[in-house]
Amino acid sequence: MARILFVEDETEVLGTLTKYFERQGHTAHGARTGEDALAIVERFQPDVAVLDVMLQEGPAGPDGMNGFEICSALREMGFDRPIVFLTARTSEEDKIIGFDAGADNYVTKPFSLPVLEKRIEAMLKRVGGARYLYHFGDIKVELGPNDMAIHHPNGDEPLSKREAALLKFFIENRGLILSRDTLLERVWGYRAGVATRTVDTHVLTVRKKLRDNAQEPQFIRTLHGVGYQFIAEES
Amino acid sequence: MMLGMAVNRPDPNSSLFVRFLRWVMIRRGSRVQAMTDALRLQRSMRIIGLVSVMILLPSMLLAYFGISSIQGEELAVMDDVKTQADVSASAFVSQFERPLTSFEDAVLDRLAAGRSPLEAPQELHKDVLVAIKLDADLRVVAPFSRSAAERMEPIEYLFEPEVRRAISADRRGEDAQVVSRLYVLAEQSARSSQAKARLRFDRASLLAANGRGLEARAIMDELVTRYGQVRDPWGFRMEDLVALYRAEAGLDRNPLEAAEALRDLVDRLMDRRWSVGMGGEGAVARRAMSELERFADSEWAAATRERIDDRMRMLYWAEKLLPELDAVLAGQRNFSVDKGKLRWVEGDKGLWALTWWGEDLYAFALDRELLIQDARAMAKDISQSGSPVRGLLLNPDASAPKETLTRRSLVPWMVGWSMVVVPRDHQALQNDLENRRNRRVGIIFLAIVLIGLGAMSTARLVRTELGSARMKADFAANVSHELRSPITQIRLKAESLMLGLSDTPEEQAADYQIIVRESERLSRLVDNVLDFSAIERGAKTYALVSGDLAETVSAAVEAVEGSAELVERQLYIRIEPDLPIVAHDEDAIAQCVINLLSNAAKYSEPDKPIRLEMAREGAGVVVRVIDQGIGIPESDVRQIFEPFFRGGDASVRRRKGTGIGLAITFYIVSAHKGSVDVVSRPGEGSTFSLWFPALGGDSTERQGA
Repeated sequence: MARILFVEDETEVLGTLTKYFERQGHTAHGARTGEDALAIVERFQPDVAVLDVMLQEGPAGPDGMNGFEICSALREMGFDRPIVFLTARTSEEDKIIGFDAGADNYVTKPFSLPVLEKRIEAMLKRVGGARYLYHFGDIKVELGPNDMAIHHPNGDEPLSKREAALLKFFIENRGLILSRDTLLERVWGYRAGVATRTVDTHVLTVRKKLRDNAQEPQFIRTLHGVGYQFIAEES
Repeated sequence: MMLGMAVNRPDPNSSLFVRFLRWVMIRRGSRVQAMTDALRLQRSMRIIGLVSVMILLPSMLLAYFGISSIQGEELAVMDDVKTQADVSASAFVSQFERPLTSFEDAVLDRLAAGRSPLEAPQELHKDVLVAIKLDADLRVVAPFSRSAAERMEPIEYLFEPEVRRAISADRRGEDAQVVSRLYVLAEQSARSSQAKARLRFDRASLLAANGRGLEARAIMDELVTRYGQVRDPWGFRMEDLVALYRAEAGLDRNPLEAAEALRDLVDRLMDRRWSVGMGGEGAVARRAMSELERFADSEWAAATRERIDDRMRMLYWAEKLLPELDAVLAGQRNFSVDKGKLRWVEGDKGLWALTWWGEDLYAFALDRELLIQDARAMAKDISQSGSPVRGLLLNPDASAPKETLTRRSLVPWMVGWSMVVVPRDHQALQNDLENRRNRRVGIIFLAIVLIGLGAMSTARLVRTELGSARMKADFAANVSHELRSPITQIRLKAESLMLGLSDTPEEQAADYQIIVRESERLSRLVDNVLDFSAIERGAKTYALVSGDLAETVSAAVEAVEGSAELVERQLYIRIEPDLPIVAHDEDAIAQCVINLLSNAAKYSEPDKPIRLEMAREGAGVVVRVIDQGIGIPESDVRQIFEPFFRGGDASVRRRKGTGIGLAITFYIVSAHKGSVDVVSRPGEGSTFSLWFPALGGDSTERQGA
């Protein structure tokens, strides 16, 4: 699932947006000002940014950056993921300015939440999907189609496709206790009850590559006889 | 309109120029605004270009055609003058040459017909002074003689003592005998035969006068025989003198015979060639004619007298001109002229026409002075009143003036002479041309100025129109934005309720609350827009009902307090008690108050308080909304009540708004016969005062405002 940045000055709108997309399994970051938005991008490298244009009601007030300025600032700092404008400004000139500032899409308010979601997904698919980049302290986990690896400060651990799929499933269902059967079914696509050893072997490898300690796990906890639980929080 | 469209709606995707401008803007560092700035710049450049084309092109065309028309007019004027000059010059030349050519023709005609051109030469040309025929050796042949033998002795004899003695004795009237003897003595001492003859004649006439007629007659007879052909020192031929004397003497005795004698004498004289330098024949003939007058037939007498005069005049001129002819002929040695042609030579006094006819040379002297005078007069004549030119006769030494229009030489008659035509008043002509030029230049200049003014006012109009078109476009965009914001919220909240995003009853309640709040915001906005549209159409009316304005305002504040814009603001309200009754439309007043409060909130920081005050002022009530916001620049204060106007400042443009709130407020207050006042300082805040007249009060009076 994708990591999405929303910039919107009206709290109710922002709240609804983040809530909806979190519900749909995405990771949503909300910002009410340009400064916040830039900080979030730097920290979490979202897969897509959704920006409002008129940002007069946030903490920065009318003198803060507007959406166009945020957009071009993002492009200038090297942000190469899709940017979508979500705004009530509908004039041709505004759209031109928006695309000019580096946007990939321009959605006018009012809008439908599911349609916006489909639009974002479609856009992500065009650029090769979400990169699935996760930060856990110093450790950066990248599970995109192009690069599957765990980046430790002192070296990378490449992941096999299956290992990446397993880790992704863990991260997306963090906090949940996952049985071997569930993992086998959702990650391998096998019917339950077959070759559960495979699961253990892969979990072991992944844990090793995460450099996790089985005795005091930071990432994957083993619940004997039950299954596994991903416990790390992104930071 | 096309103009507005063309400038207002450029196609940014296809315009290389706009892309270039945008590229320039990006280079200058403002990436986000690049497109807007490029479009704005392009618009300004189009206007500048348009104005340049509107001013420069017609001005250049006008100047070009104007200047060429000035040149054309000058050329036409000069052409006209030149033509007149040519016509005048031609007229002059033909007037000048006609008598001369007809003179030439007449001379040659007469020669060809075998008639002497010497007779009555004035018929050939009025200015002929003498007409002379010379032989091949250039000796004068006709019409007079110039014989050296006939040369008169100097009158020296009068100074000889004997002669003087005799003459003075005669004058004193001394005794005739004595005087006669003195004459004899004088005759004996005289050296020339002329003197001798004269003294003898004088003696004879003395004797005749003193009654010694016989003696006198003998002397006269002898005188005729001996000295008949001799001329006395005065040029008289002795035989003529004697004949005259005798005839006169016989007049008393036998007048008819005497008259016959006189007539014979005259005829004889006329038949003879007279001599240059000797007036004898003429004087005798005149004397004889004066005696004959009584007898002769008057026609003959007149004709004869005229002939005598002619001859005498010719002799007079011949005497003066022959030396000149000698000089002319000497200068023209061996000259030849084809038969049937005349050669013209200018002398000092005469203009000489020479032609050979056979062995004879004919020479005619025309009065040069008169010819020149006439030519001068003719030249002057061509500049009659009204003509822009005048003629001048130039002698060979004179140089033509620089303003000369045309010049004709008087060859072959007067070599070196010419006639020039100049503007009658050169300065006036120049002034005229200059005036015409100045007038044209003035007109052109004026036209260019007018074009410039027209273009500038057009440009200003276009700019204003563009500005208002832009404001309207902004208005449409702003209204669209303002409408979309609450709809977005409503839809989102409705959707989140529908999709079950709000789990708890509290969340759901909040959603519903937001839907209600945003609907109110929406309807306020719609009210504003519809009201504005009605105002624009002139269809908006208000129901003014007498009531407590304070109550209406309080109700409006209450209704709006919970809105998104004001919910977190510090709002201070102070209303003076016992305000007068004001006739007002409650909804409209509420609209005004809400507009002002929402403006105050929009244009000030969230932590700044907003105050609303109501007080008695003059004969009415004032409602003041005071904020500590960004304020309004002085340049904008006049315009803020105009529809669609939004401050030019970026800090205003960034804020959401339609630009019609204050226009509606102004209209509503005006409909209440009230007045609006605004005091503002940028950076410190604004105070909007709405004043409404109290019921029954003087509506025009508002003190302290």
